[in-house]
Amino acid sequence: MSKMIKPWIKLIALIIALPILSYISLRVGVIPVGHTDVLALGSDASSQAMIALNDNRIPRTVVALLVGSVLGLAGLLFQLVTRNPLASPDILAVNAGASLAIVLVTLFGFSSIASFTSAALVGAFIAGVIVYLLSANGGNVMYMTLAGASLAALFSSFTQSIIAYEEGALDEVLFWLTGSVAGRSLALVTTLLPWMIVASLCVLLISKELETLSLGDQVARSLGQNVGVIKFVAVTLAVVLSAFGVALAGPIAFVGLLAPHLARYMFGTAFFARLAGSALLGSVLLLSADIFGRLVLFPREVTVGVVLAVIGGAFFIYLVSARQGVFKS
Amino acid sequence: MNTFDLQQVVIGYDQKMVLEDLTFSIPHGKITVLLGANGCGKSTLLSTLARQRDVLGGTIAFRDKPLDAYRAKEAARLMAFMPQVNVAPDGLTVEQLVRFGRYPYQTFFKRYSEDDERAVERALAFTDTVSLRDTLVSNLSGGQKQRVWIALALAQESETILLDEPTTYLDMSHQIEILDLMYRLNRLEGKTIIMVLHDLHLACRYADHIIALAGGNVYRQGSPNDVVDEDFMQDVFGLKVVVTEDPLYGTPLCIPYSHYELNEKRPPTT
Repeated sequence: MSKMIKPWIKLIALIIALPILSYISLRVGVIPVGHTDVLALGSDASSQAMIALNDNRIPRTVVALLVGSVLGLAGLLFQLVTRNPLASPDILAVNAGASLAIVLVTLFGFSSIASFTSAALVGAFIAGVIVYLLSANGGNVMYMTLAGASLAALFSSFTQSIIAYEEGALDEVLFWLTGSVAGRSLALVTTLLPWMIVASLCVLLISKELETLSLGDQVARSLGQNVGVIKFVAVTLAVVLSAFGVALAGPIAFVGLLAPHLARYMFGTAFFARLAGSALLGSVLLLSADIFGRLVLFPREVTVGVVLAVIGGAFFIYLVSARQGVFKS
Repeated sequence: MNTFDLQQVVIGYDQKMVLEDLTFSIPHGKITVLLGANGCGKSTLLSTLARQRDVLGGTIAFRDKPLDAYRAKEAARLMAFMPQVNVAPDGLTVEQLVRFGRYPYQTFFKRYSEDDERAVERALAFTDTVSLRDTLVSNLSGGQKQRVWIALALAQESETILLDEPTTYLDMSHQIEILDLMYRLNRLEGKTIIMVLHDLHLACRYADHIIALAGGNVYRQGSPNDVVDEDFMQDVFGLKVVVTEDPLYGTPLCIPYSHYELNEKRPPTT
């Protein structure tokens, strides 16, 4: 069935899903927000519903849409470049590296948006470089996954111990670290938004190059591609996108793993659609998971990080066990 | 003009030299076969010529110009390289794969054109894969797969084609099919073919020029009749043979001795 429908129709369907999910996201939560409240957006009414919308629902919806798309895109880039179906920003320790760096700068008293973001970028890069060096011998899929997973564990334990010792100073960061789209400032969103758009457009611009790379390094080189340059650009973009995602929403797991696989299932070899689809599916996934987290234990909220860890963990196990070929190459 | 001219070239990887002080030429418009025992560096040499790895020393000229002076896509319009092992992404059809051969002609502003379409059709026709165009590459047999990857290289419309053991894993009829294809490409289309083969018999039949490697350098080069004899087989492959003549084509045919007496009685089976 999935072959009968044209890729662009599926893309449009995904694009249509975004405002629908956003509308649901604005309505769902402890404080009741009605249809008329959503329609009254922008007016300076100071009802309880309007406060909930402006201070909570709108920021978290925007953050979920943005973070989902950058993580989905970053995950696909990592999977393409490393040829590792288990690669994603969280499994390759990039998210954990960014988180640790953010906790460190907060510990030393920096709390500006700029320091927050640059810490995330630096941490993500360092983690990426370490995983690359650890798995450089042949680029074996197994080595890379293990190196990434163990480095991620190491980084998170550093992060945890810093928090254990400096609990008071890091109150703010604590909530952020659980991976949540709620309680984020719109200031950070508006600062990062243009950069996210630029980075995402860059990914779409090198779509043809990435597609050619999927034939293997040797064939891509024989076809006249500067394989090293393309890989470097792709990984850099993936690290930057992941760092933005972490800076906004904390270390959110599994979106970067799940979205590209769903996109592959939906779009097959329609490559450009697969790229765009990964981003859109990332948004759909993260926003749906956030809405689900608000409903599942109503009136209490489960953070989106926890929801995704449960769904994504199961999916990861499925990937490893069902696709037995994964570890053989 | 020669297709390649090597001057004191050093080839290897990870600072480990495999071949040293190589000085030879590969003729234009001919079928050249690189021969040698396993691990002698013939594949490493081929992939170096194909710009897949860096030279450790010396100079390689490709069509009278330093090999590293070509821009990547410019080189790809002049030479195509087919690695020994190729894996197409899941879900890719034959035609989709062959279309990638046009990558060196495309730029950001100039995407798929009519010239590209024509080159792809020609490549499919020449390799007899037109009827497979909508088949998934992953569903093809070994021989079909190989023809499709050759079609990808043909779509590049390069004058030179380098192939690393294109007949490995194929049964004999498909080996002949692939080598016939190389022969037609050379004789009908005037392409320069450079390949690594390990079937000595077929190498002698199809090669115009053989370059044999042993002991880290070129051991001997020339036409199959000039190159292959009993001493050559002993020195290059460490194998005692009788060289006779292929009854069909008159090229050298080596009949190897075994290391054991084969007329010994077999143990009784129970």
